Amino acid sequence: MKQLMGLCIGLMSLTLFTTSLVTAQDVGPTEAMLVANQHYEAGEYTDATHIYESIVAAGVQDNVLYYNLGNAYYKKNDLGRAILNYRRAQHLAPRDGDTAANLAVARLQTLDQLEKTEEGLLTNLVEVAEEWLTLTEALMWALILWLLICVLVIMAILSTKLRRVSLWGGAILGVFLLISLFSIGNRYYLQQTAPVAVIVAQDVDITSGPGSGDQYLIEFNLHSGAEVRVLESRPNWRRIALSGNDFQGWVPAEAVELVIVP
Amino acid sequence: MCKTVNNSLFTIHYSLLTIITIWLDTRLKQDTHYSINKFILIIILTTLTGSMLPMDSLVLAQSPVTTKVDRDTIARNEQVTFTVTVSGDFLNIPNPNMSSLQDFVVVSSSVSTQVSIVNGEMSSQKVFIYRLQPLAEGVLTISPIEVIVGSRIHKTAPIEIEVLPDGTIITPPDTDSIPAESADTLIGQDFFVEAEISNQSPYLSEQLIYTFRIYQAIQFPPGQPDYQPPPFTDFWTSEIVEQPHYNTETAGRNYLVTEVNTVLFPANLGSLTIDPAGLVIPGGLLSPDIRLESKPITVDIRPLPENAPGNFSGAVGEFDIRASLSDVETKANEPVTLFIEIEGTGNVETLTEPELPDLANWRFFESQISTETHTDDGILSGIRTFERLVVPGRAGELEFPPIDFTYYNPHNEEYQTISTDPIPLTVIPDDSLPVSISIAAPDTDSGLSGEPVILDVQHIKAVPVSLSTTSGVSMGGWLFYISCWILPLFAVGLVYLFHSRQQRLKQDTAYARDQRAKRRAMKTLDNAKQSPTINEAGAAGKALLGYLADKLNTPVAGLTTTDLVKLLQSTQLSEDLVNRVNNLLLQIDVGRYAPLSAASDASISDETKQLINDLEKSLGKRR
Repeated sequence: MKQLMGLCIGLMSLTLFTTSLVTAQDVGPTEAMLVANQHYEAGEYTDATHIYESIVAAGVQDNVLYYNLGNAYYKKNDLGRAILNYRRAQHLAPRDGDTAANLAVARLQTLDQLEKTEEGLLTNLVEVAEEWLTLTEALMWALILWLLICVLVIMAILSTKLRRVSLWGGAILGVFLLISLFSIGNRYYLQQTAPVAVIVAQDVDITSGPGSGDQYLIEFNLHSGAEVRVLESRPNWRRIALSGNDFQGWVPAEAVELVIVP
Repeated sequence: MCKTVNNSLFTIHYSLLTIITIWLDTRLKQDTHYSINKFILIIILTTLTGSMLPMDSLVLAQSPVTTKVDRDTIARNEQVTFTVTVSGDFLNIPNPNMSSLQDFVVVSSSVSTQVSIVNGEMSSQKVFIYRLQPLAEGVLTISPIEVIVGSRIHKTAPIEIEVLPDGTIITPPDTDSIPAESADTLIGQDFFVEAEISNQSPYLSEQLIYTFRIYQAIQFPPGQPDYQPPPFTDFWTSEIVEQPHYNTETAGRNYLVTEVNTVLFPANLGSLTIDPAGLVIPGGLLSPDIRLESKPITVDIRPLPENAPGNFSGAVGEFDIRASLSDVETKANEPVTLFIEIEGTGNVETLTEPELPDLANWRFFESQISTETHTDDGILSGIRTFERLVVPGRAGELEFPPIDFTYYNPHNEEYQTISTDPIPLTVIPDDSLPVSISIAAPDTDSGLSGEPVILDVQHIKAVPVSLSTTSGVSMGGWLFYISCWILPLFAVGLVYLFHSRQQRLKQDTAYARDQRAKRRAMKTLDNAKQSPTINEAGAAGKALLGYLADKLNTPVAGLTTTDLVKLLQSTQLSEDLVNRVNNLLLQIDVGRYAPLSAASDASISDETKQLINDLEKSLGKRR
């Protein structure tokens, strides 16, 4: 509630400053987003991003909000933050076609066209699941599988005629359940231990240690929009890895942002 | 201020050396044995003639002790360097006696000794350097200093120093404390220098050549002359490494001239003065260094005309521009490198990147800049290259439009704008892009032609009815979720247990009779109680016998009390219960054949119920 009040006060000043179309009394997250959309439509992308960001800062986590914010950053040629917000939108609504399309367009324009290395079965499963389901949805589907298996087992107990079919059906569903549980577990594990992040700095040197290029060897260089995983966090520095963990190094903390903020 | 420099003696010294060298060369051609001793002889003669240099007065020539100070005017808070030099064929030279100093105090001191032995003749020189702090203002005197050399006591001449109040700014003397001699006074001498500027009234940022010429009629003494350029504070500079040499005749003498050229680009307007440049010629073994200075030069810098085009960014000179792309064909949204090269004479190293055309749907990334310069006939030329990654955002036969570059040509005195040629680029569509990407009309303002394919991201979405404030599951949600996993497991267990019991009831008669025994007995008793036509004692007997037969899984027919008691005893039922069963059956038999009162019937029925309950507890546990 305090956050929303803060948002209202912030937007009051913002609306006065930007001479927006809504009055201060009307401003809430939804109305603020309306104002931001109007700025976007008028080509005032900087104002639009400010308002969208203030709504996010107030605790709103909505895929449409992140999608629109990604668009505003894209229009400002800030590919890193555009991809970051498209990824956040995709995390909340993975089956949204517009988000997938815009993310693909933004990715194609990054300087670092990183080739994906061969991943393990579990990692691939995680990626497939991420493209289709949120973690909550995946958990719900696993529960549904479990309920179906239980029903089939009860049928097998009660009905001699249906026992064979029920047991086979239960076994097949059990395999799917095991795979989905492994996938969910691995997805959760990766989110906790190596969360996905996006380079938001225009150009950043990846060093061999948590320090500048004067102290450590510059391993390689990344540009805005490159998607990485964060393996370790230290004050002001993050250890990142590219796909497959073959390329690792340290970047300043402000140069990279997590897709899912813990 | 040095008291010991005498330039005429230098001339004699080096002239004599030159004559001797020429003479030795002539002899060398006639007799090769001379070559062996030539170098040694030159050193001896140099030393002999060089030793004549300090003889600026008869008194000093006779005294082995000389003194000098680095300046004769200082501020109260400054220090003066007082140098005492003792020369001669002495091995042990004691320190000068500084106790006579009254107006100064010695802050620090140092000493250096040089001893040389040539053909058995030893000579030595000891230099004592003192930093003196004045004790008062006004004209102070460094009192005569006593130095004991051999058996004689030598006194130095007093030196007057003017001490000004604290904070007085005094123009510092040359760092080398060598008096500079202007070129005018040195024309006709062995060495002199001069400086020249190629253009006295250039435009701002126009290339100038500052030439410092070193004239030498004779060879330099051993050691490298040190060129000390002026600070050039109002100019961008670029030094030219090449140093042209040539001979010229000036004032009746033939000189070898060496030029040191520096390229200057004026960075400020108005009348600018270039301070004198200096040349320090190292001295011989006993002779001091020579410092030569050019005259200061004043240059009037003119501003550029005001009618500069909008894209003019300060380039002055004569330039050419070229542009190229790293590939002639690429995919949409894949980067190619744009090279822009500006070549010419002028301020190449400070050129800024030309403005790129405002192209919609093209993206430009940061630029890398490199510069190569070279000199042709003393003029600085070069190429400045700007590299940019550019990403075409559409497919088709495209053309990168010309890039304009404006510079000021000081020769023609006009602004000139030059352009690159258009660069063709074939951009093929990128199949990897999703089909849902929008297709828009071509941008006619961009100057690009070609089939539009990919232009923009999908438009923003309308505001949803409600915005979600959380992306995760709450704690209550997690508890419900876990419950949803556990409860079906219980259900499966319960169904399994129920089904198993049902199956056993069907398949195991003894089990079924055992499970139903009590219920059937109680039902029989209840029916008898509710029906007045039924003898309760008889019903109680039927119920008890039926119950026990079910429990013991034995047929009721033909079951006597005696057999029943035996069977019960075999089940290791307690003696008390067996006796109760036996007594109750006897009572029932009596009641069956000799009608009892209603109260007695009810009592037998209740007792039967009580007994069945007790038996159920015992037999149920047993099972």
